[in-house]
Amino acid sequence: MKTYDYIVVGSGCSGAISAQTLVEAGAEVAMLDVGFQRQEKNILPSGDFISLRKNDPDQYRYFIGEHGEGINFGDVAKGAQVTPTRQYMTTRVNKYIPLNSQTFSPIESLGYGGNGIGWGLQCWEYSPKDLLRTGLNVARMPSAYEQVAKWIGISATYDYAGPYTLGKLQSYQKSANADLNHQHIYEKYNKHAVSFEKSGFYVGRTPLALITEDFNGRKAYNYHDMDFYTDQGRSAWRPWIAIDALRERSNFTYIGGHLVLRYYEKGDVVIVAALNVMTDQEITFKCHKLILASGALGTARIVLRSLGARNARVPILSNPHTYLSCIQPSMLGKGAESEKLGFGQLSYFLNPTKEDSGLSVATSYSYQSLMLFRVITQAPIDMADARTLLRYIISGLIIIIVQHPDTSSETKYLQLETDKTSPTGDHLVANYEPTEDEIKLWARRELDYMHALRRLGLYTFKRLHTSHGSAVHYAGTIPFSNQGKKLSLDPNGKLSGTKHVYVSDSSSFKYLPAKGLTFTLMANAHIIATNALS
Amino acid sequence: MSKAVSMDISEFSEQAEIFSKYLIGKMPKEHHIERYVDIISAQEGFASNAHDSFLIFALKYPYTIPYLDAYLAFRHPYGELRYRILVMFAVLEGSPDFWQDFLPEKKSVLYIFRIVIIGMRAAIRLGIGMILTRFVKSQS
Repeated sequence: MKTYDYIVVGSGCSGAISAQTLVEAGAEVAMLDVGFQRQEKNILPSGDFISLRKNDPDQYRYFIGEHGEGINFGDVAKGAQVTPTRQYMTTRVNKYIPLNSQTFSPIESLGYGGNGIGWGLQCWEYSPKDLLRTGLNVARMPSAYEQVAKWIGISATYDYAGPYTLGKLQSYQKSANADLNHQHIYEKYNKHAVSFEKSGFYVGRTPLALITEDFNGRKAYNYHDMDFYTDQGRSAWRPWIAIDALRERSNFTYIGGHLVLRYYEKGDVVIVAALNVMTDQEITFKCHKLILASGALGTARIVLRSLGARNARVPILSNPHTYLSCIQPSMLGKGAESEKLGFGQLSYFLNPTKEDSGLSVATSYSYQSLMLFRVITQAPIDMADARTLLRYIISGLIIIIVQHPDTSSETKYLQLETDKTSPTGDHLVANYEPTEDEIKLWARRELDYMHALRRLGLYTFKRLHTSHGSAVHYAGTIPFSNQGKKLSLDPNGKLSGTKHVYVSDSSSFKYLPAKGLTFTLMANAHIIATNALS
Repeated sequence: MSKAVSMDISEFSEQAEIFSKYLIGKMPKEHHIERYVDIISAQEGFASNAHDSFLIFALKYPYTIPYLDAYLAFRHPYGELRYRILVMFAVLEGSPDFWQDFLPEKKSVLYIFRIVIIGMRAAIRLGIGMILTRFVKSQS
């Protein structure tokens, strides 16, 4: 059996960046991954939303799904990113990584690219104070952010919100053009920016892992507004783009179809046991160093299983988030836009007391390509009238997602329980119960945002709380610690009690700021992989 | 079309036509009906759901659908009748045949008056729907 220098577990954002860091340094790297891919590859459209709507007789396949799998009926639980063409990201999750919970509804993935398949592309930098609370390396993070930005390609604008969105980042292309709805908000903010700044309200373009100029064989963004369904021209960065490129390199091996179960160390070698998902047989692999990057929940499973720590509790962090449906009256009845940006366009930061940490943040989207049927049942009137109303208001509709930071507590935890019906012999149990004080704080901040948005001419008509965990931001299960505690990482990212096992995903975060964590977890993955090289 | 469907196809066709006429005032095409049947029949427990009292009443008296839908949207938005209307809505929207009925439309400022009228009509439908649903419940 071959002994690899490094085995990276998982093909999500942290796995891709860890592997790229190691491969670029010349190491012999294998990636172990389940890596389910889309079965029907020929359904992805290449046109723009409006043309496809008017002309494509097969559009139901990607808009509503072959069997209506895109039709959600009931309370909003799962993210909008899991459209029919992206639903492969959750293939056989219930079978191989089961999770029981009444209070926590995460989206996990065994797909090729992990949860990065549906990532919203936001690339905010954490503030130094947030980095400190999170336990990340404050001194090394700026250069790690820079390196990741150079690899993935970011478009951004340094504007009034620049200190909150970009920090000190230098490597980026110009932002994609905002749609009319957002241009109107942005112009209004910039016109009265001094007054808004005085009250601690900052609005700026959202940095995105989206290229607006051709870059590394990827095409500049085409404004087709099909971003929830396809990755046309690969202008949006996804982990599988990086892994596809690595697979061309002689010192990288991708081993798909394997779910890593556990590891153990034998001398200077790490033995990794994995389940072949085609045969359900267990197979072992060998390496000198193991890098776990299968997400905060996936890594917790592997570590707890490896240590035989069933029934031990580990913390879980996840950003609570709320949807605010807002109307910009001046934009009502403007009709459809043929060229449109489908990703988050503006970021909002409310910071009246000038804090450097602990803020809630918001980001806004227009609503066009997600179709009326996804929102029609939210209207408290009959569907025939709701259709007429929505067609009129959709051009002025803004969906704002307010995200809150999260801190660990005894009522937010994961636990691995024995389960003989599961192919892995266990399932994860999750409990996520915020305190009354947290709930009150989030509610108060949401009201503050609604008030601030009114000053921009945005009127909230519906506030929708989603189930905990549905934000797809998870962290903190195996946190950094300087004390060498069990189930923790040392400052280099090495797992306590091991010699050669590292964790490069968000499991290490001691605190979860409200800003989307993906850019930061990739920068951290770069640092941890660099540590593992030394 | 799903082989699991043992119900009479004409029954589904009628449903699809009723809901299509209610939603956009037009008859669906054959492929819309087929898609509607596929999705409904793939629904877990669809056979027992077909006994939903509001669904049966609405299909028997299609002119009551706007009123029932209005009340249910307000008080019980996630029942079987509204699920089937939603499926037909998605099927019609996810096809090029009726794009004019679903894409955002450009309107003058005066259109706001029509919106106000629609709002008032929805309120009236809600009131009538409240009485109707009580009647349906008393009959079931």
